[in-house]
Order: sequence, then C-alpha cells, then structure tokens
Amino acid sequence: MNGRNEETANDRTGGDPWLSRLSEYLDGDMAPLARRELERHLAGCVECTSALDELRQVVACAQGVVLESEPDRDLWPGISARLAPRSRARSTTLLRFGSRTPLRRLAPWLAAAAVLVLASAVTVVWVERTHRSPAPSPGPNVATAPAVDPAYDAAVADLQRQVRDRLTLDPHVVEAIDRNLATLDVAIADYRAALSEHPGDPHLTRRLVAARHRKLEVLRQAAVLAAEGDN
Amino acid sequence: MVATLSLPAGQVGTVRGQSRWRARSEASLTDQSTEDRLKEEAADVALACQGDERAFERLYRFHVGRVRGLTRSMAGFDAADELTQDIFVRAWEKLHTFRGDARFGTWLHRLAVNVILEDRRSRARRRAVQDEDERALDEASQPAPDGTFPIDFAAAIERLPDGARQVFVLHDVEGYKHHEVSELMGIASGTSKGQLHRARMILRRYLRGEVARPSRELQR
Repeated sequence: MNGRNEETANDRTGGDPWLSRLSEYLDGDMAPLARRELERHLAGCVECTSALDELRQVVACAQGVVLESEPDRDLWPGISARLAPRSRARSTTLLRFGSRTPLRRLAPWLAAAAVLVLASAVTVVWVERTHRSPAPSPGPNVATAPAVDPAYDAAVADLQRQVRDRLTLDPHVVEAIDRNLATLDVAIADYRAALSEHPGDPHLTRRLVAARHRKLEVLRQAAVLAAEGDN
Repeated sequence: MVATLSLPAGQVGTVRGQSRWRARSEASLTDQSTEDRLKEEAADVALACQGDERAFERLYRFHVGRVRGLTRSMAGFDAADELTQDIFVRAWEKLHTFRGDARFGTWLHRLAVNVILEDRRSRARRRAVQDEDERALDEASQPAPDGTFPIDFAAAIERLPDGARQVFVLHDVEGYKHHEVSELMGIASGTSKGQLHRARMILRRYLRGEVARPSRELQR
C-alpha cells in the first residue's frame, strides 16, 4: 500500500514523498500509523535517513543560534526624535481616558508621582539630616528662596477648587487626588523643614521646586480631566 | 558553553547551547546580578511609563541587540534598523499596557514579532507577485562570491524566502508552536508546517554545502 502511494507521489513530484513529511515526523506531529510506516521506510531508505539527520542538524543549529545583532549605528536618536511628540500625545491620551472610562484610572498615576516625590524627599531629607554638619552661618531666610511663592499658592488653590468643584460626581477620584496631593504636601513640607535647617541649600531648593512643580502638574492634569469629564 | 562562529564584523552569530531569547527572558533567577538587573529594569519600566525617556533609553540599550537580531532574521538586513526603531517607538506608545505579568523582555519580544509581521503584511500587499521567493530559495544555498559557503547560520536564515523565514525563526529559533505561529501570522497551521519544512530543507542544503562546519561548532 505504501509502495503504491510512494509511486504515485513520485510520479507527481519526481522525489520520495516521505521527504516532504520528515519535519512532521521530527516534530512529533505525525499520526501513529504514518509514523510507523515512515520508520519502516527509513530502515531501508538512505536518502530519507540522510535527510532526516540533516534536518535534525538544522533544528539543532536553530535552537542554538542567538539572534543578537547590534546595529552599526546608534538608532536611539531616531527613536528619541519620534518619542517626543508621542510623549505629549500620550499625555493627552491619558487625560482623555477620563471622558471614556472611569476617572479613577488617573489614581495610579497620581499615586506613582506622589510616591516618587515622597521617596525622594524622605531620602534627601534623611541624607541632609544625618550627613551634614550643624548648620553654618545663617543664610538667606527660606522665605527668600522660591519655597514661598504667593502666585504659586494661588495657582494651586485655584486648581484645587476647579478639581473639587467638578469631580463631585466621582468621589473615588476626589479621594485619590486628595490622598496623593496630601502625600505631595508631606514631601514639600519635608523639603521646607530641611531648608529651614540648611537655608539656601541649592540642592534642597531644587528638590522643593521640583516637588511643587509636580504638584502643580498633577493638579493641572486633574483639572483638565475634570473639564473633559464635564463635557 | 559558548561557541562563536568566525563571522565578518557586524554579523549575527554567537551560538550558545539552549539559549533562546524566550528561555532567557523567562529563566528563573540564578544569581544576584540577574535579580538586580531585573529590579533595575522594572524601575526603568515604571519610570518610562511616566514619560522618562532616559529610563526608556536604558531599556533600549539593553534590548536593542536582541530586537535587531530578531528583526534582521525575520525581515532582512535592509529593513532591520528601521523596523527596530519602529518597534521601540511602538513599545513607548504601548508601555501603559505592560502589566508586569511577564518579563519586559518577553513583552517586548512579542510586540516586536507583531510589528515585524504587520510590516510583512503591509509589504505583501504592496507586492503583487512574490516571485522573489524562488530566487531567494536558490540564493540561500548558493556559495558566496569567493566560492565558499557562508559560515553564519543566521545569515543563511536571513536569505530564506519570506514566509518560510518567518515561520522558521518563530518556530525553530524562538520556540513558538505551530498554532501560535499561525495565529501570529494569520495563516493556517498546515501552511505554517509547510513553510517550516520548506525552510528546513533549504537550510539542510546549506549545511550540506557547509560540510557540517556549523554543527561541529555547535557540538563544542
């Protein structure tokens, strides 16, 4: 039976029909009956036995090859140039989520921002407090540093009011924003306290400004989200 | 055990025992440096999710070799750089969908495969007749101009016909099953099997011409 099948296929392809099924055999995809027939065939066919060995070598080579290829040129500049606009677009997309999906999706982002700032603040303050010598001569009062800025405080208050007024329909979001803003406030307070011990310290001042900037940014995003949620 | 074939500069071809990308990505932690690296990577992913491009650049630097290697093998040398860039841009855009269930490298690999195959489908639509396949089939087992056969097995893979090459890379190199390959490529499982066999038979001719030199290297 097998011989007749082979003969028919041979007439059509001019080759051993089992050759076309060797991968199937090799991968264990062949039905038991066909498998037994092929094994009987292999016992007497040098061509198929040889091909099977070679296919095994191919598979072995494939399993051993590591497709690593460092580019000849630095591809990063080309990637980076395309990230910038998409980064802004992504930020917009994040805000748009609010109008289509539960607004609480913003919460993880707020939490991440707050945690980052808080962790940074705690670390900096700890380092400052444990590794610094006692404060030297009094420097400029913290009030003269950018730590206190009435315009900033007014902007924050205004944004907080906008967010609070418009998000009353989703208490989860209001709660998340409040919680994370509180965390940011702790960080800001820590920086301020450290600055009071080391007035005018440029490192602490930069951190404080960054934390306040982050708070403002979070509030701004929340306000935009709130506005879109209203629409 | 690592055996490196003698390759022209810039060619693919480090050969190691049992070291597929997926296996590496999913391998259990074996030492502190690996664990540290994964922690750093997780931190970079988190930062990149928040828009930190420098963190994303670090991820790029670590993974670019593997991504480009995959791209080069599946799509060819000429398209490798551009596709690699496309993949990282897509990764940036999709980072928010990465939930940390798998390693970042695994996620990136899957994304890379999708981008490569999308590109392939796009190119296939533009190409009315894929007559280059037969030419590629012949070229794959042709000696190099200097009369010798190419030493690099990965280079031979690159010269396979389009569909056969992608199935071969996904199945035999990356370890996907036929049903996964057929799903990824949008082809029937039988087609996947047929293309795989076709690729193996071509590479078999290559190895035969090579007098089994790569296989001896592999057995070291």
